[in-house]
Amino acid sequence: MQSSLKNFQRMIDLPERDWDLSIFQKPASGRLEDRFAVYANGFGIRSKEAMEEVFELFPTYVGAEKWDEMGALYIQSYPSSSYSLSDIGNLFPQFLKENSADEVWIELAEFELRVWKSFHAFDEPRKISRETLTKISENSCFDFQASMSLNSMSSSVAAAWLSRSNFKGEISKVSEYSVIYRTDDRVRARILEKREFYVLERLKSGMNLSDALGDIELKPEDLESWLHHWLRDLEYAL
Amino acid sequence: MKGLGLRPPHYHDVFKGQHSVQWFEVITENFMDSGGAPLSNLMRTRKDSPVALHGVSLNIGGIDPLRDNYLQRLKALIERIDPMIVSDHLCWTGMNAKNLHDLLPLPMTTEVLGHLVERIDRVQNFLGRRIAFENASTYLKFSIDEMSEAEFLNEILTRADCDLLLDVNNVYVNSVNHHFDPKDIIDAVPADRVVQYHLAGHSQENGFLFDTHDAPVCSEVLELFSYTWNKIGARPYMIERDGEIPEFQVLVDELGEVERRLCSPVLKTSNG
Repeated sequence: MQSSLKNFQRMIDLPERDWDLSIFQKPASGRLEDRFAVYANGFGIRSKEAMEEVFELFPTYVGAEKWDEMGALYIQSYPSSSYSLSDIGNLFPQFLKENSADEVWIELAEFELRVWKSFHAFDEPRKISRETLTKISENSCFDFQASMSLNSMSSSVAAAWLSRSNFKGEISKVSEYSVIYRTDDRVRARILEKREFYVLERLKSGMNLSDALGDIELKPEDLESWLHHWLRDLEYAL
Repeated sequence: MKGLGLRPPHYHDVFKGQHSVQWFEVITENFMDSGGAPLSNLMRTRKDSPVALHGVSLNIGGIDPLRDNYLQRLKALIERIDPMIVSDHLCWTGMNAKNLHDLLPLPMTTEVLGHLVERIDRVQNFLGRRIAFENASTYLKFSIDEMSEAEFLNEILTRADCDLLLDVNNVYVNSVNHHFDPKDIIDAVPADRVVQYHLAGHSQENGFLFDTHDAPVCSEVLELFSYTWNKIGARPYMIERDGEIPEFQVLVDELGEVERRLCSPVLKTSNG
């Protein structure tokens, strides 16, 4: 039994010319090779479909030919070990880094993976209500939903993602700060100004509001606007 | 009791609630690690209808050890959903920690039977409930096979205290692919172990049938289902559709057609 399964799996990774199909009976009809091809080709097809669910913009950005080539190499280098096919893209940004891919490719892949993770994250029931907003002081600390992530990129991948319905494959090499979050089961993103990014990053690390604001210069209306997003709209603070 | 596989394009129609579908089946792994929209859609469905969990990655026939984290998450999902049926496939899905995400055929030997019986027992003990296993569609038979599929299924159901999700399309596909009478399987399986039926469409490949779930259920499978219904009895049944997914109403109409066929007096007198 063990050797039959081992041979079966080994052959799936081999080109057709190297298949030794002697572990199978001669089929009742048709070619044995055609039947084995259902299994041999199926893995690649399913993996590609699953990757394209995670990486919506990436194939357009790099072009179909490159995407096919890179996808096949990735699946070969990092075969799925998870029970869920939707985890298949988890190591794709790492694969790109290891293969010295263009920085924009790596950032785009990383951003799309974070969007995917945000979609599936287990968020907590919200602890904060509109009534408790009045109790926020400079000593307040915040918890953030699992679906929220902060991104500091050297290219405008968040802007590209936000206008994805019209994505033409162009991403500018301009530094960009953004937050990914989820409300009403929909993943959203917002581009942040640098100061807001750093304050959020500090709050996320556990600092209280006073320490997080620290030496950052801001007007009261700036803070009001930020709190509006963080809390009043209940976007990503618990 | 007629059901459908719950698929994202149909959520809107399902949630409207004005339909005749009595239960839904979902792919277990799509919900085990998801706390977002997938889970809330599942919970919303479950509020109004019974739900069956149908797994594709248990790897019951594989050689790698059963994965504790998989079983723990499956158990947690079962506790959350309280499903009417929990099922997976009689197959293997990969080895050496590589998951091929496919339902791969098993050699039909005494050794494999013993292996399956032992693993099914461990899974059911861990989950504290019975599991139904689906007869898989296959395109290959191993040289070391020692028995027919009918004998193999019968042995598993006799020796392992598990249930059968009888996929009538798979029986038909295998009967064409491996040249046997599909009724051999229907006649062989113990009726009291059959808890659910699957119906689906398939496609014609070069010299064999491919279980693609991308077409309506064909007349040959419907005929075999009528035979099965009369031989084994009424059980929850459903149509699986994973490719070329039509409008929700098209599938509801197809289910209605299956139901009419099952209720037809001609069927009852000819096969009953």
